[in-house]
Amino acid sequence: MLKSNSNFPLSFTLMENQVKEIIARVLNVDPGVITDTLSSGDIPEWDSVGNLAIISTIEQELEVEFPLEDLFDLTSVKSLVDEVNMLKHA
Amino acid sequence: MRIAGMSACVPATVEDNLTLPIYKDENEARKVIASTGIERHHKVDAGTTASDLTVKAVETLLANMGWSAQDVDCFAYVCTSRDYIAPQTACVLQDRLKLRSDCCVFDLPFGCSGWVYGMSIVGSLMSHGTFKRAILVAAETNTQNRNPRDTTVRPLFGDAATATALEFDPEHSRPMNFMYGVDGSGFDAVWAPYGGMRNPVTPEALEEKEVAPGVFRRGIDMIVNGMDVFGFAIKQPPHSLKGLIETFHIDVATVDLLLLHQANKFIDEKIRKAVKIPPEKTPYCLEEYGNVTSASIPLTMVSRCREQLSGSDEKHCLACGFGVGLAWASMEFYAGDVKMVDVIEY
Repeated sequence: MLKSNSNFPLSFTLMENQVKEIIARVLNVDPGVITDTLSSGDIPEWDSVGNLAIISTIEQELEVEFPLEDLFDLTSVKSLVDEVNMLKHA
Repeated sequence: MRIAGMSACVPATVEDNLTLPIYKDENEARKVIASTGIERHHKVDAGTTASDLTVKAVETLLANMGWSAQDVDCFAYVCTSRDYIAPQTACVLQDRLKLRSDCCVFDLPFGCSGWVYGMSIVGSLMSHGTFKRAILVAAETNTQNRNPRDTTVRPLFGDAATATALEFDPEHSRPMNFMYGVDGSGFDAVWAPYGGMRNPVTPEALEEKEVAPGVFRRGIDMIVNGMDVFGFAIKQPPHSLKGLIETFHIDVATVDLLLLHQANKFIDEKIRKAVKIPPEKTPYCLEEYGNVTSASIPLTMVSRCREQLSGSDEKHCLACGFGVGLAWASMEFYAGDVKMVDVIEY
């Protein structure tokens, strides 16, 4: 069950949960591990290969295209959620 | 100078990433395949060197072209997995290939940008008119200097040797244009820390250590710092190609082939989109051969562009190699009526 968030519209929360679900599935870790502050390198599963897998899966499943110049900064839950949000509302 | 012929030799042994014994399960292997595009690679048996693959590639090419080894005026060997610290492997190959004793031979110890640098260097030498025929080899046995228990490199790299025959032919040659780049501050993004003069081999350098879960290394093993390489690969190659296009006023609509270093399909696709070349003009061979460093561009041409390049109408090509150094190079060239030999196995 998705929780609503008083600061953001439900669509943002839904998207945020989708991003977190993809990260957990791609890294094959418990969803509870994927906190808002988690970054690449914080857990062994999120290495450079894992990061590429996350980025490519998000692009495919959420139908977004990350700009080349932004790719290097997409290494945390927050940056990925913010980037998808920005692209979805561009 | 024109490209007159090309060949490639790969080891017969294939390692399939899905069944590599280094993963916890198939899901982990699938993740690597999905994020890199690399499904398998060819691997030499212990004791086989890049120069062994080279002998087969060059002899096959010469036979198919009707050239004799005695016809070759210049022989350049792009390779970092050399037979010995000294002498240059090109000297050893002069004897093995029965090249003339006055043939100009030399090693070019470049990594992934090596074929483009080699084309520039040999092309410049040939433009003097002294050399009529040259062979440019790009070869590497990457599986032999990387730790087989290092999950960050084993699924990615393969072995291959390629040979490119070049001919001084002013009547049928078009200009080649080049852009070069280097960032030596990133020398340790892809490197082997021990085994050179800076850090000679010591007993400690031969000890295998688990530096991260599932990542075993010795000091003499090649290391790839994934995040550093990723940051470099998404920045410099597109910048280099865009610089080439702008500097030499290239109309990308006229480009027939974009030949990229085969390191990672996701990154290569980003580069392709950045220079606005359609997917059907961008061949890949990394799914079958992995990253074969300097050999990756010519192996792509031999394995995926045989019909296009052997046809009589010239193809307008852009190429970009990038990696170890960190170094990169882009080039524009035309190729047609090239004697393309099928990929052969060792």
